[in-house]
Amino acid sequence: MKKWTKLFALMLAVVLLCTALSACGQSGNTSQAPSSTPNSTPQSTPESKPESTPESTPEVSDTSEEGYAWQANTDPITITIYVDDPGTMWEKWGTDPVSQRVTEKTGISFKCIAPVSSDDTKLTLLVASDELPDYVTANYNASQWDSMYKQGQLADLEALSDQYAPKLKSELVDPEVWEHCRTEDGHVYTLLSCWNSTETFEWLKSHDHIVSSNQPVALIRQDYLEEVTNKNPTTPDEFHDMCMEIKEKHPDTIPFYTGGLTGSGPSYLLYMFGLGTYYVDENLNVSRSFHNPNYLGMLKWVNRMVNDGLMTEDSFVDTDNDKDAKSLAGKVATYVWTVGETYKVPADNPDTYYYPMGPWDGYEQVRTNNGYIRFGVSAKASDEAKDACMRFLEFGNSLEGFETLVCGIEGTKDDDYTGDLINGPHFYYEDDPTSPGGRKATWYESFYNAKLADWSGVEMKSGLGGYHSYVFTSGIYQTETETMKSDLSTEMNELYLDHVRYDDPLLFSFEAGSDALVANQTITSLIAEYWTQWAFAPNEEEVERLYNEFLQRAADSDEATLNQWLTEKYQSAGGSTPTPVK
Amino acid sequence: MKAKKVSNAIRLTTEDKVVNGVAIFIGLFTFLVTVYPIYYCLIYAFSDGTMAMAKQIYLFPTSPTLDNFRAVLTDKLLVNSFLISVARTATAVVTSVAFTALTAYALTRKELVGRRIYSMIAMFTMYFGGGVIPTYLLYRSLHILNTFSVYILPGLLSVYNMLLMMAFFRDIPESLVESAQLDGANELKILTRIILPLSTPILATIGLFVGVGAWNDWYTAAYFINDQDLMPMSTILMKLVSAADAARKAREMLADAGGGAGMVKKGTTSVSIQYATMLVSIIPVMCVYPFVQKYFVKGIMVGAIKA
Repeated sequence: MKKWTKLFALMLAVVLLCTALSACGQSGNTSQAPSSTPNSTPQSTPESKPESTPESTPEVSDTSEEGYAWQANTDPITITIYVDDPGTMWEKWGTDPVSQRVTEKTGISFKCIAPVSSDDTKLTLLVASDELPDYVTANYNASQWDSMYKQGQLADLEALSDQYAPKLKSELVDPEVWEHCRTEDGHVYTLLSCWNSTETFEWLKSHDHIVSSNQPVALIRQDYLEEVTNKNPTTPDEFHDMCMEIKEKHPDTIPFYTGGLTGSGPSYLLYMFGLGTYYVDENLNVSRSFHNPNYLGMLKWVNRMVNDGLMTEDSFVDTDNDKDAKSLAGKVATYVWTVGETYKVPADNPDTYYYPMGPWDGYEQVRTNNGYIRFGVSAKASDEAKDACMRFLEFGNSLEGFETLVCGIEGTKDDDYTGDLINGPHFYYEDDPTSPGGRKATWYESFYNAKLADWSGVEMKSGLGGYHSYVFTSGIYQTETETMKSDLSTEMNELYLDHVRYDDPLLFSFEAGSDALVANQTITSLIAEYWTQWAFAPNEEEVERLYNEFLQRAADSDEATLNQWLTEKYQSAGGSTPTPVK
Repeated sequence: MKAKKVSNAIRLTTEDKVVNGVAIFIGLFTFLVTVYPIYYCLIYAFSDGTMAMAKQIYLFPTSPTLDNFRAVLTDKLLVNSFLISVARTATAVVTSVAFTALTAYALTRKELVGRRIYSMIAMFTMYFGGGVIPTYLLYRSLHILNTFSVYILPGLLSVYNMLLMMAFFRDIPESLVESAQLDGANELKILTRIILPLSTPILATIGLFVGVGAWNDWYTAAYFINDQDLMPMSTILMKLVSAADAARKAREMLADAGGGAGMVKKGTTSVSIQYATMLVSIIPVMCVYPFVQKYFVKGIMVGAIKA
């Protein structure tokens, strides 16, 4: 017993000593991502070179590619990056062909910090402790950006471009993007992806890409569509009648389904009734969209659908996964999601598929040109890391970067995708006078269909499409939209383009802790509270009563302050009568 | 004359039978609602992801496959995270139980000067915490951020566990300690030779508390660890769950922006891999628990009454 006690005590002492020593030794450990960043130069990482590289991309013979910083310096270096996306591909940098090719071409590898849950605490901690990684990315409207600007935690990208990658500013990034990203102090601390400049916006329109794969639509099983009388309902009432017809023929099916979207509010249904998040009246006063006269009509319609058994409780409780399960199983006749769901085949009939229906007459989607992901460089990053960040930005916005990150391996027009996700070929160039360089990168249709069938699976295996949003600044040229060639895309643009409009002043950035923000959140909670009550009310009179009750409670929640703030912001941003895209 | 055979069995009244019936029903119902979710994970993990989604399985796997487990067990990150989970759990159990025992024993000794103050300081930390950011800054100044130590050092002493152990120690007759002192034993000897051997139920209970807590804890790594190689399995699992939520948010945001790039669609196997990972992660706890259960019940009851 004595021997064992001594042995145990000795082991315990060793364990504690080891943990204590590992803590003390931490400050010099380069694997400590944020805290070591400011003082430690990212180490050369010869081991980060890919062990086996897929067949190299055919060289692009474009003389403008010469003289880039990313070509001049390809020394191996690992930089740290924050990506605000749990489970992002960046965490497995070097395991997919695209990241391997980037490292092969530029020498740059990434060590990623990503949140575990989908809250923003991780980024808040990094900002609060002033330990940002070298390359910071987050949603365009993340509240932490403001703190980073004010605390001087981000480097001026224009100055860095001049110093490390001059062509980024002079050639690659649209001047409009620089201006859009310029802050009040005159510096540009971040750049932004998926933001449309005037030129690129025109390109999108001329190439049928305004309406894209994630346009909210109602999809219908084609075998059921063939059975109904009115195959093209253009009003909610006509759609209701069509669903009744489907229910009579297929009593076991769910005629209309919005699962995964409408758990706490109307979500995409808003667009179908010409509503959005906000309502602008004729005097340019802005409020939440429940003041739109159509809102109550939408509620009554939903209530009618529920009471007629055309919508079930599934629509109000299901998750994304349930939606996938029910649509794949063919249990729903029509459902609301995006164009990207097109051609999904239900398990009970392999000879049919879901396809988007045309918009109802009142369909309207109000968009804001807000971009998607912002990215910047830490002011405390080492010079080597800043250099690498700028070279990566330059590479990502170059033609070769576009091909590497988005297009894949180039083939000829006569080739075709063989099913080889890694080695391709994935795309070819076709002549297009309206595109930069007079040619347009185009995915092989079979590859695009493979993506449609399993978007994230193809993305994870090929690496294509998983990285570009964190480095590209162009909304069109150099995004994957350019590579799509699809009759579906053309058809959807013909159907929906008239129903899409932009109203950028409706892009609001609430100040943290402000009265307007509190009121806005309270009202959002109220909508969630009333949403199912409206849907499952016994009749339309009760819906109206509940709606009026909701209006009163919204008014009691300091709605006036919110509306005043929204109106002032909207009008000062130049808000005026919005115009359709066309 | 043949004696009438008397049965020793207690004759059940109708009321007894009804109560038994209700108890059996409740027992079976409880069994079902607690076991079925695990069973569902099992059949889903052994099914083809896409087919399971399309056919909506309930009782049996569809298109049985080991692909989900293959994906889990060949993923370097997941395998590594499993090892981290094992290492942190084992280390935490040993160190935390030892420290808790040492502290609890000291605070039960009347000879300790200022033990009330120590107890009050310890109790204070039970009710008030610094919050995430101050904790983060504290860990940074201690240089334990992004190290294995962050799993061990902050959790060395749990005040709740210490109170349980103190209650158990107080139940041990003081005469045992006094006789040992008369024989010349010092405090460490008394603790290791007398107190601890008599305290196996509470040691096992607290060991189980600490072990299960360490095994399930995803929070520490989420905020205080950046290095993927130091992530435990619970954190990786949480990340898998969060990825779906993040995808939904991204989709909604892109729809408002009208962005075509980066359309988000989940892979149909992500759910099945999630279930397979869950199963792999709970197996060790399920294996250990039956062996500790008898101590656990005894220890928690004694501690609960005395505390």
